[in-house]
Amino acid sequence: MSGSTTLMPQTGTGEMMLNAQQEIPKLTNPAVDETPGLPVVSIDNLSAWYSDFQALHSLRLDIPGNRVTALIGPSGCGKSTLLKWINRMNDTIPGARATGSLRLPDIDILASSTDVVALRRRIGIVFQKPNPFPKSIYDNVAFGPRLHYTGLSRTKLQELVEWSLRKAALWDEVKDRLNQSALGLSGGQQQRLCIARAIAIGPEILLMDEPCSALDPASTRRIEDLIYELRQQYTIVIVTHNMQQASRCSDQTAFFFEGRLVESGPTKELFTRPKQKQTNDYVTGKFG
Amino acid sequence: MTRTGKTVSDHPLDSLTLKAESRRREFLDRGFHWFCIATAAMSVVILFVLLGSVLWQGLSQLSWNFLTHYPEANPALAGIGPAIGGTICVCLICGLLSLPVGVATAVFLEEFPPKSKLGRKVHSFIQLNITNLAGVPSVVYGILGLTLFVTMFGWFGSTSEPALEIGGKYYDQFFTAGEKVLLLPVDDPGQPVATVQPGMKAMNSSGEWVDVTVVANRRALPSDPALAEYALILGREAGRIIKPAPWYFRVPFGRSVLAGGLTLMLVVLPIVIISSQEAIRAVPGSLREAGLGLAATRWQIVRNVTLPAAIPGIMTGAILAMSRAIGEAAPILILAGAIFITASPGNLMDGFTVLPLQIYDWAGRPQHEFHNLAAAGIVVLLMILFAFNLVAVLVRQFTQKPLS
Repeated sequence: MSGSTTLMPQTGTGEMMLNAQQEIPKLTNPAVDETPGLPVVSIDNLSAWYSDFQALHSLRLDIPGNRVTALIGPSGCGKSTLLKWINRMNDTIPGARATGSLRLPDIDILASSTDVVALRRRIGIVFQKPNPFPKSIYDNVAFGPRLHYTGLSRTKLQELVEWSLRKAALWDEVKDRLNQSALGLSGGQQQRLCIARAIAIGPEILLMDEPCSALDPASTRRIEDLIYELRQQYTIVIVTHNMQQASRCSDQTAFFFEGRLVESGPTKELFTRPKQKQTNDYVTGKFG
Repeated sequence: MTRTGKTVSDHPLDSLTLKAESRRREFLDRGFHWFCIATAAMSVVILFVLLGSVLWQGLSQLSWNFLTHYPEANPALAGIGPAIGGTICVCLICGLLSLPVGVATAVFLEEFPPKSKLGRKVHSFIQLNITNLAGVPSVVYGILGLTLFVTMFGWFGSTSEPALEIGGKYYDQFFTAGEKVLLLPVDDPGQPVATVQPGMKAMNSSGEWVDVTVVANRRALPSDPALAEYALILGREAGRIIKPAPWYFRVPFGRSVLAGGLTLMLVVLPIVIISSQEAIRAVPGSLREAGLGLAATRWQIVRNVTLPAAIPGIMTGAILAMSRAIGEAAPILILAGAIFITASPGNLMDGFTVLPLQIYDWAGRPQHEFHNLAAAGIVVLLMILFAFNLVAVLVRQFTQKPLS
């Protein structure tokens, strides 16, 4: 069931067959490299527990660089657990533990000697509900850099804030009110602010835990476009409940069920020609 | 009993009377409303009667002399100056110490959840103790303060022979026949007290060295006041005094403002800790997660996320704590005693009195004039309390910058 899969990332220009909103064209960006990315996160035989409950069973998956990997599956299938092990957010949960191998090319993520703070600087995360700090828009973006860099000049910081907000496609909307509270932004804007905040510290990988589930369709669309755009520079792992979302903005999809990886592969293939019956049932909406 | 929208009803309770149609229910509802209004009004009325009577009695006594003068025996001249100074000093010490200690404890309990089994036990032990301490009568803290801060279990000598002393200068003091003071500086506090010797010199009150006229006995003292000014009798013993600098410090603390402030700190610490814990707990976990996700260390999360968001709540707790501290009489009575103090504390080791003690002292006297003074003291106490609260409210407003 949870066999290792070789990944052939999709180009992103393909039409999704099962997509109810397939009239929305996907972003095409000639700058995107069409060749398969090298694995950036390699997961082998990973099992995870919350106290006595086993949330993940011997998982094997490679997450390629500069691609969007979607993790799909019904609630409680372990996809968020996997996501939160990648940057060790699970450390804060009492009773959470994991065995097996979860590696970046140069570090063993699960090793107790791993510097979690340094790890999280390389692996940013965007949460389900937008969670901007009750500070100004500017201070939200500047928060991370201020934590990690000394001798940050005002001009350098301003430059960085603008760069991050532009990358998150938020600059034009907020450039005149950078000193106003981030809480005054709409939900979609707040989520893009959280993305800007995450990329401001220069991560290599961006984890996104159902980033659009609290947003309206228009905001969702903007974030999806943004995700697709960001894959040029970042490796993105996105957990989603929304099949259309996975098909719209990911290159590779992994389907989880009851803590096991059922199937993974190029998004187009997984959605049109799933190898497993379970996957087929899920992506066609028969359960889940 | 037909129910809307149904021609035939088969609801099982159709045969019963609806309570909405009973007059008794309506009556009870109104009655309860009036009862609530009455109880609410009662507390307000009592407060106003109290404030009114205190102001009526006390306002006429309030004067500059009352605020600055010491509490002498003549009620027309008596003032409350030293008690005001003592209260402000003790409360400042208490506030400045209990806030950081209390907030740090709350941060430890809330932000550093224990991982090991032993850690969890330590955690819950501390938590249980703090909850219990909040209910301990303050007079118990007075006794604790007495042994812990005033005498320090006698481990460090006594206040007359302290183990550590900084910033105090000793003098041997003589009173001359002309009722002047002469001083001899003492280099080593261990040396014996000086006696009058022939040909000696000593410092006068303005610090100049003068020749002392030494005479054999009382009858030989000069009658001319000019000569008598610096005349001393041979062999007389001096009295040893200490002139403390503003930074004077000694261990043990003795019955000093510092000991008083520390004891009040013990009294209010549980309040500060518990209210800070509640304020910290109210900070949404999603903000901590955001901080973690941005690779903040725990300290950075506390410093940049949790505390800024919790400060309004912490300040509310601080207001409560200070209101408690300022009104405490029992621990101070045990610690400082009802002693006659003529000046505000000039250093941390000075003796002191506080407003509640002074009020207690005056209120207990038979003369009516002193009761008015007590009322005026209460007015002053309330004003200082409001001033402290105002500062806390301002801090809260200032830290809670409007961001919308």
